[in-house]
Amino acid sequence: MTTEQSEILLVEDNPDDAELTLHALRKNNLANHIHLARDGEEALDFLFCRGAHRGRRPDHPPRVILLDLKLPKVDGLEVLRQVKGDPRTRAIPVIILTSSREEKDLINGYALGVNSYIQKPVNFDQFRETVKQLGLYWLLVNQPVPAAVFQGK
Amino acid sequence: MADSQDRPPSPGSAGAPPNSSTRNWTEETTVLLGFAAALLLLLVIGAVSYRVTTESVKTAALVAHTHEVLTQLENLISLAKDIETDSRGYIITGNERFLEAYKKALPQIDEALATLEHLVRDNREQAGRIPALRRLIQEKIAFNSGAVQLRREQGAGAGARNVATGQGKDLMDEIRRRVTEMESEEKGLLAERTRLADGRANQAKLVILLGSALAVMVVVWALTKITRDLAKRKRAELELDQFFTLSLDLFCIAGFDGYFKRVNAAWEHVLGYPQEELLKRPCLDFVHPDDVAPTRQKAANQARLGELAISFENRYRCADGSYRWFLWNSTPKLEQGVIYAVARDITEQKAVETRIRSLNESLEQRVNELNTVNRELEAFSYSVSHDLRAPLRHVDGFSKILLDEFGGQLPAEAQRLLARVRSGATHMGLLVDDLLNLSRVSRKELNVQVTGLDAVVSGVVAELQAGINGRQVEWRVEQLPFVVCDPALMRAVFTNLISNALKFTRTREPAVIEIGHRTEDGRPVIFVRDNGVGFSMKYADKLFGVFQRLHRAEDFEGTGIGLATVQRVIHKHGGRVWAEAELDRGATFYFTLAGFEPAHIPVSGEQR
Repeated sequence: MTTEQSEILLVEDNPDDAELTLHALRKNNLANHIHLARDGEEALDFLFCRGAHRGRRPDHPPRVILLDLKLPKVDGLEVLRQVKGDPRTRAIPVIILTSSREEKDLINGYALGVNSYIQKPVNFDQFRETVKQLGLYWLLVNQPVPAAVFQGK
Repeated sequence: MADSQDRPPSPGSAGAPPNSSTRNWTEETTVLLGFAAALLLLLVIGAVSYRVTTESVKTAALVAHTHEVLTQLENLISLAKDIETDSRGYIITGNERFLEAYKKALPQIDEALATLEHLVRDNREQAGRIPALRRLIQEKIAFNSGAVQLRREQGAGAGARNVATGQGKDLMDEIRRRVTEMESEEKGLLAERTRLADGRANQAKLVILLGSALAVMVVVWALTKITRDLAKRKRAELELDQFFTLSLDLFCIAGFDGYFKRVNAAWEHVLGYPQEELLKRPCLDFVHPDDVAPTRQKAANQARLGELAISFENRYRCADGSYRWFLWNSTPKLEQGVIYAVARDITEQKAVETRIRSLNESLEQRVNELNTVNRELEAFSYSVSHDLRAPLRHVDGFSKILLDEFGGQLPAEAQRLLARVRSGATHMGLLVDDLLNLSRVSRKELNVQVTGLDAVVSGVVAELQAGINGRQVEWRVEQLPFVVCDPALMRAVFTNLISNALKFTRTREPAVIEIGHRTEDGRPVIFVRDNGVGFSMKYADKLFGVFQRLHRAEDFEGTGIGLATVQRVIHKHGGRVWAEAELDRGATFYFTLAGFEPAHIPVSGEQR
């Protein structure tokens, strides 16, 4: 598991989903610097440089977080709450990538300040297209958060 | 008996006497005044009678007096005549025998004159006439004695001459004239007095007659009034009494000493004790042991502070040992030391109340259970939504990767089979989505507002048209009404119906899809009609069942959930949905919506 250069933090507990997502990203040449967190706690440890990630530098956050909602230990919405509730991580774009289309998840997600909400399509072609678009958009089209935002804090 | 709400006594109950007694007072006064008037009349009549009687006695005395005067006057004339006649007889005859009456008359005439003078002394005029009369009589006596003397001394001739002078006759005439004058004077007086007395008597008669009549009338009027009043009172008393006796509510008067003073028949009927027993024992003896303390407390407050008792409840023991619930309203009268109370037997209501309460409790329990079930269902749907779709994605994803990366090494048959695997996964994904939709529609609370169906339909048509891949479709969309509905759910209805219409007209060129409405019983009936493959009406009852399909999957794809969802939405709106079709001749789906109370519906033009 790497490192300070991670551009994408993928929070996903299901290894099949993780592999398919990584596959889709790889197919679009977007999988260079991905950190995979297997539950909410690990994601928070990574982001706040604690636990196993004690040595990570907090001023190099990921460019984007792909967040599943149904996670062991700490669920996705809680991760979102903490990320958006902390000045050190608030600026990181968070995209919920989930199977759920439940209205209450949408409402809660947006209420907590999520930047985008995407339901994973069952059809893999569509899924791959979706992953490609969001990767291109957030890593290439979108201007990244200036590093000063994180260093200043 | 007691008070459940601490209320000050109402001002009307204690202060001024009520109106009815004021009216009675006035009537009583009228009657009393009537009697007083009658009494006054009787007094007047008595006074008048007394006066008239006194007057008539006086008049009678005066009449008698007048008669006496007249008698004396006649007597005087008679005596004067005697003197005249006898003296003439003696003068003619010279016989002393003729002088007997003459001699007797001489003292008598003086006496008569004195009596007369006495009688008329109160009448100045008559009294004034007496001296002249006396003088004339004395002259007459003197003349006659002279004539008698002359006859005796000088014989018949001188006497005759003396008579012949006419002097005696003149005197006699003068006396007669004077007496007659007095007589007529006296008779005039008598007539005058009699007339006056008669007049007074007539007046008195009138006063007595009229007064008596009036008095009788007043007394009769007063008696009538009293009788009528008495009857009215008797009736009022009877009515009150019957109110008390016949009332089905329990009326009683209870003393501050804790005993009933009076109870009505309802007490006997409800509790089953004879009246004597109810009056003999303290009230609290009959009260349920648990209710004794509050009852005593309330009754004490009533007796001490004059509190009203409104809707106080307690239980009374029946003769058979069972208890009845009573609802009390009562008013204490401090000055009389009693409480006027009405109780109503509310045992049945209490039982009903208890039953309702237990029903409510069980209902509440059911609701809780239902809520639990709903929460479980929600968790289940969430789980389905999340967990069931994930493996499908994996099946499809890995199959696709296999095809993409190792397709070249696979025989054609293997590739075809992999394609079937993928389409199976896709279909199951649709099934899961549709099932989730159905469950969401079932759980979703209706959020009704006035909605223009035109906007809903045009949105759905635009969305679906994007997916028809250049097929030729003739849309016939009428203007649709505004209805009260949940716009999001209504959108789901039209999406299902119109996409069905599109699907089953796939073989038609052009496809004709008609969306319109008509009015039945004042309510709009919306329909979606197509010229597609239709279906046989003998399967119409299966149309809206979950997973029910009327076409083979290879002819028309589908999950069999869409129309079930439509039906659930329409039923949630209190409406009805049905279809008419003919095999190969198209189908029409109709639905209605129940009327909602327009006052509580927000108006919104926006559609999502």
